[in-house]
Amino acid sequence: MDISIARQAHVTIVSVVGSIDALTADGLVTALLGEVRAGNTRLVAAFDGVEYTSSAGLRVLLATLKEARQHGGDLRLASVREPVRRVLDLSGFTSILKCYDDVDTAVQSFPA
Amino acid sequence: MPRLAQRRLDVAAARLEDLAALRELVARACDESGAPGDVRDALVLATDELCSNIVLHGYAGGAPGPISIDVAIGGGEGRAAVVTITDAALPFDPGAVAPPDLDAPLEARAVGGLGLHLVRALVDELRYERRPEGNRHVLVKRMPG
Repeated sequence: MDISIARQAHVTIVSVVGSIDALTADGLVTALLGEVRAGNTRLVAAFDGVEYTSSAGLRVLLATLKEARQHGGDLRLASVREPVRRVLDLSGFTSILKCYDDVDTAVQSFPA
Repeated sequence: MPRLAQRRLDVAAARLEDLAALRELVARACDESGAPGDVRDALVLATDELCSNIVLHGYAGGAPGPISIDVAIGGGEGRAAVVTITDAALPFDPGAVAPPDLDAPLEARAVGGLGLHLVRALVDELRYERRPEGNRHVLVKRMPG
């Protein structure tokens, strides 16, 4: 699983490519929480390259979401693929985690 | 109508690194049988969830142990895909795990129970049996004729 970080208009974009499972989730949570703890609390996770996630990925998103919001920010998803979308729906995550069609829309969703 | 397909994989000392191979086995068997994509995806994920639990909790605190998975499609259960997962780990009865509260507000959301919740949502039957040598989980997903 590959992770790359970019900044755009006071928002940090974390792009993920690969499958998220109990093995790879550790790397993702380290990257995401690292950003939050560095003060980059407005996060967009770009999931165009994620074809698969297990509940391990959901736990990472939940932990990041909680901490980002506690610090006045948020975690939003962009370009979620259908299989991942289904898992988010099944887990009741779509009611707590905002998803956008693409990164630009997700970035713009944050107040200026 | 699914074609008959059967595959098996025995992992002697299962680690999280083996999850991808276990998923691949289930995916291949499903594709071989012509099972619909959503059946394949459901069984791959359900298998991953159970095997992750075995590695992380079943063998927790001890040495990695064996996991065997057997995928049988279109066999004795008729129009069903059946994944049987056996291990030599601590008792892990899915019936004993409380379901997560999916309507709780964010602050109250717990992380526990999500994996098993997904398994139950993905398959038609989850059978569990404790044997002297370990646990036996069976996932059954029915398919359209």
